[in-house]
Amino acid sequence: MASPTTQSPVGAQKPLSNRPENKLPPIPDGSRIRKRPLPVPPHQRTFKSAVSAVNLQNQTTPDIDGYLLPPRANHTQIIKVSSSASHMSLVKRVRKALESARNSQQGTTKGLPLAARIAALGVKNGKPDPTGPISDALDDVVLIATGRAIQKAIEVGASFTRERDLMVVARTRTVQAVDDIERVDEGAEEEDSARLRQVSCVEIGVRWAS
Amino acid sequence: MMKRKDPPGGAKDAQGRPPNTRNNKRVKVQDARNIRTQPSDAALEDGKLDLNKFLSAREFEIRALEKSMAKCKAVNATRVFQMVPRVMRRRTASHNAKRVPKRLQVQARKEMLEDNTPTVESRKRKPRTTRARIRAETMKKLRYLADKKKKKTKKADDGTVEESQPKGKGVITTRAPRPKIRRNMLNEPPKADSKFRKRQIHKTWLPTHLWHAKRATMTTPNSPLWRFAIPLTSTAKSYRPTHRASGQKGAVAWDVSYMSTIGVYGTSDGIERVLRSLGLVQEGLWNARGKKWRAGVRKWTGILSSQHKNGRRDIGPATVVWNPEPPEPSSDEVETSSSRPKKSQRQILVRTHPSCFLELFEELVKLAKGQKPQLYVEDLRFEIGSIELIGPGSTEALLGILEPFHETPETAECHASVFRSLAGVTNPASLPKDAILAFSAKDPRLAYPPKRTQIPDGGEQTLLKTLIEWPVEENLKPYSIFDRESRYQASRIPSQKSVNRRKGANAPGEPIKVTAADPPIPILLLASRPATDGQAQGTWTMLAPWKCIQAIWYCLMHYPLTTGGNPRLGGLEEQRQIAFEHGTPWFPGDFPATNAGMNWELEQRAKRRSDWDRRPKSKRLEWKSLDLGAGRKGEIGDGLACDFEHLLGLPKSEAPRTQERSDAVPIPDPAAEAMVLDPPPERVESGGTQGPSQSPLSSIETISLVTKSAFNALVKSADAEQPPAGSIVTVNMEFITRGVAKPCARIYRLPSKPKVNVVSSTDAEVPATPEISSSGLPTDLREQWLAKVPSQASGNNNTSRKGRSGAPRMPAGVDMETRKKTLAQSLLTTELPYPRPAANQVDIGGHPLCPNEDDLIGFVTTGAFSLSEGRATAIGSISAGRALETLRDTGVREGKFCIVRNAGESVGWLARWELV
Repeated sequence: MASPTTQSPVGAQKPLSNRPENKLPPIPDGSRIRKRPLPVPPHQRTFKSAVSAVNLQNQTTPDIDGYLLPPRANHTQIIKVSSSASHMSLVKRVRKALESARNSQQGTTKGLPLAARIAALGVKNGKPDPTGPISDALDDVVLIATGRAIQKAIEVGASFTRERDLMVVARTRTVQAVDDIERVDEGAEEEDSARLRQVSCVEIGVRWAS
Repeated sequence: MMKRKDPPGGAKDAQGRPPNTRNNKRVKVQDARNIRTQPSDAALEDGKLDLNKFLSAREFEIRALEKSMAKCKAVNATRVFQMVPRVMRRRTASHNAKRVPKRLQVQARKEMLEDNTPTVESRKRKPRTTRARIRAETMKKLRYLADKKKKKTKKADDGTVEESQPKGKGVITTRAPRPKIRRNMLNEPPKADSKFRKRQIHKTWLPTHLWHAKRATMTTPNSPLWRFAIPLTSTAKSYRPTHRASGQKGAVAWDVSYMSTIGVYGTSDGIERVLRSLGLVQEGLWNARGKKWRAGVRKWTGILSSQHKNGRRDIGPATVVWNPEPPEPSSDEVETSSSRPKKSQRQILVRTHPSCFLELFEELVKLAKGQKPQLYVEDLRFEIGSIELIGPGSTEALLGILEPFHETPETAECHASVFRSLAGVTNPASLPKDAILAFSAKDPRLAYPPKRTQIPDGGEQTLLKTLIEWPVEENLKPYSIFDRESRYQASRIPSQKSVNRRKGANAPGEPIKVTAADPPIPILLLASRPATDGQAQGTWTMLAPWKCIQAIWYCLMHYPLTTGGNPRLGGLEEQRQIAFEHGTPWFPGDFPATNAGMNWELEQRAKRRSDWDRRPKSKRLEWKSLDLGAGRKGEIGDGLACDFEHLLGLPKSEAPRTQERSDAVPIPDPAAEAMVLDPPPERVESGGTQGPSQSPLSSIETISLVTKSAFNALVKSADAEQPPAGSIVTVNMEFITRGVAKPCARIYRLPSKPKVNVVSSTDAEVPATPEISSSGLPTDLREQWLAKVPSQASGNNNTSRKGRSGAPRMPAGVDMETRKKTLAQSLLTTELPYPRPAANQVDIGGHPLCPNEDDLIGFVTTGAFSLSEGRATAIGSISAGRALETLRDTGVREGKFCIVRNAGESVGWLARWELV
């Protein structure tokens, strides 16, 4: 795991978190794995950066792969893709979220503290500086999928690449999930335990091009 | 007599109407509705039509129409309170200007003036009835007396100061009396405020009753539920919002203080014996696997049962929590203390549903008295209240309001720090199974209004570490919620008035400092997972002293969630809805094999019956004339009931009221007396049917439940072992194609295969008439139903309909050749038999008929369209014997198909059942 100070460039030698020697040992006999629900990326509102409406907070902590998560706009809607979801329903949900994002981009300051509201008054309703370092990832909608659902998310994302006024970005990530190891037979003397598992995850960001 | 609509006085205008704003408005409306037109002869010039003029006239008319439509919309009769969003509207037709938001109040007042809306303050209304007049007179007298007294004391204060009590002399200060908790007996509900006492004679209010009564539909005053006034559902529309808040975004909270808590204390061996005889017999609980549970860091939730003359019978679901043992004294202390090792004294809490509370309490008292040394049972119903939360925002809402009381590192509680580190958890199911957290919290009103919880930097890694390691066992101390003294201290939290005063003295925005007057509030948090695994949301249950629930609830309802909004309030209906969406049975409604569940069912029957009786004869279902096809008439059993008596061949039971408890569990005498005393005698006549002490001891009490594991074992067993007679299993059904089940719907199995009478191979030709079996049903009924199952490959399920569609119509104006062809085609495709049999004889409009009564296996107890599944699902109970027979005969795949037909309807729909 890399610390925030040692930000290695892409392609540099870096110990992989899923090297063979890091693989999990097989579960003991007579046990089985019960998956806990996957952690959901927290939806955070920051009050500091109200003017740019950008969430900078999770930029400071890197991923387990040493990857800095791109900042998220406050209005970003996260859609979790399940493998059983239908394609059209996902497309509709993305469209709806995009529409509401377009409407809300006019900049609502509701729920912000007074100082931030006053600060927002001074700014001429401008979009964040396009040349800034963080401008490339302010997705309006993010589709998140793991495992079997990855294909579905990619398909939905691909269907949006055909549209001129939308931009689609795909990112891969690793998510950590917790598994319970349970004894199958009731009379077993051992206790249940828990362990960590790495899950590959894909994020499809969709946003308005203009 | 003056009409309400006419304001007083005033002269009349030209048309004889008084000139006022109301008439002005009428003029405005009339004007808006008036659409101007141009006569068409204007466009005619010498008999010729001037097209330009004509077109511009029509254009003008269309404009006028559009303008009028817009105007009508603008001047229509909306009142300003209708602009308030629905969630903020507390009362649907609020005409009171004070009730609308401040910015709208001026406008609302103006509208009221225009409309001449009567404004009456109920307080100042002249009494109309004799009783009200007497009451008003008494009030007046009392007020006079109070004034007099006040004057007197004031005079005394002015005059003689030295007469005050001598201080510090012969005054003995004692601690304030604590409410009594009697052992092995039921306790009284808390004494209500005198203002509200008369309304709580037959029931108890929840600590948040006044809050809920304004925002939710409550049980009606003379028919409380389980002796409580319980919020049923929110007054605002809430079905879909609840679904969303519980699964995707937000949180739903319930005040479930009506849930009953029982404390048991005594030796650990005795408690183990009692729990074992209540049905906690799994070895996993009592060997090394159950160590954590017995240490008090995990809970156990399941169905308790009791021993009866003819086998075991379920009581209801309960949660059992052990109090951790006090840390062992160090070795030198042991030596100095008594040499004989004291038997460890333990304490447990049993939390159960109020509908089965009395049954469980009786059973516990009986068992506790039978132990040596004796155990003691405490009724903690009104000592401990609880709040339940579900949804992705539930954890952050709890984090936002509960702050640990002890913050210095020396005194900090381990559980409190674990709890604080849960920031970022969006599902309590991601905690270890059955996790418990117990700590002391600050009064949440000190930091009111609650602030959003911030997730610390790099919180994700520490959170995962906490979730895996779950360090709750270091220096475990007994939980203070088990301690009567700390519960009592917590219930003496300062009044809202004093909190307000302190807040006023404080700097704005600063949390109020904790003083000696603020007691720590003992909190017990239980995290439970949904019965169905996967990504479904788990539930938080917070137990706290009864008196603290209100303060916590007010803060909880104002917590600003990060996803926007506040936690929603939920009622009983929402609880049922969420259980249904998770596909789990809801107690007591879906547990007809328990006394509480059967009572619920009998009440529902009575309610449906009275609803049915109230309808005019022409507008209600006539059960006898229901046509089930193939000449079968009449509903099977009682159409208004989940008629398990009919299914299992038991004698008919009667209304729950009329039965008397005859040969129930022998009750120990003092407890019995207390219980008889507990429901006041008036209650028996009061018409409600919720008295927990009344249980219909009738034939249906012999229905027993076969659990999922027991049933699976029966299915696997090679020999033809049979489940006990009159036993049922609870199932969850999912409809395969269409259809929505309602409660009381009938569940059939697929009709059995016809007896093999294979005719010789000459059956290549189609038989002229469909074979009718001796029962009057088509012999291929089973195949007809199985054809409804969409095949895995194509997913095309309307092949049968296509095949049955009639001949193509003869197209108009075709030549002879084509006509001949079409005729020939139509002759070939004509459905056989050719004149079709009478309606509802072999099928219902192409839909297969329902099977016969001998294929009836059960009833639906809850059914609706499930928003989480996107199709209809249902929960019901089916006869274990018949289900097992079907599974053995036809295999697991086909054996699990069933046909669900709503009561009073003749069409059934195909579904598949799964055990729950």
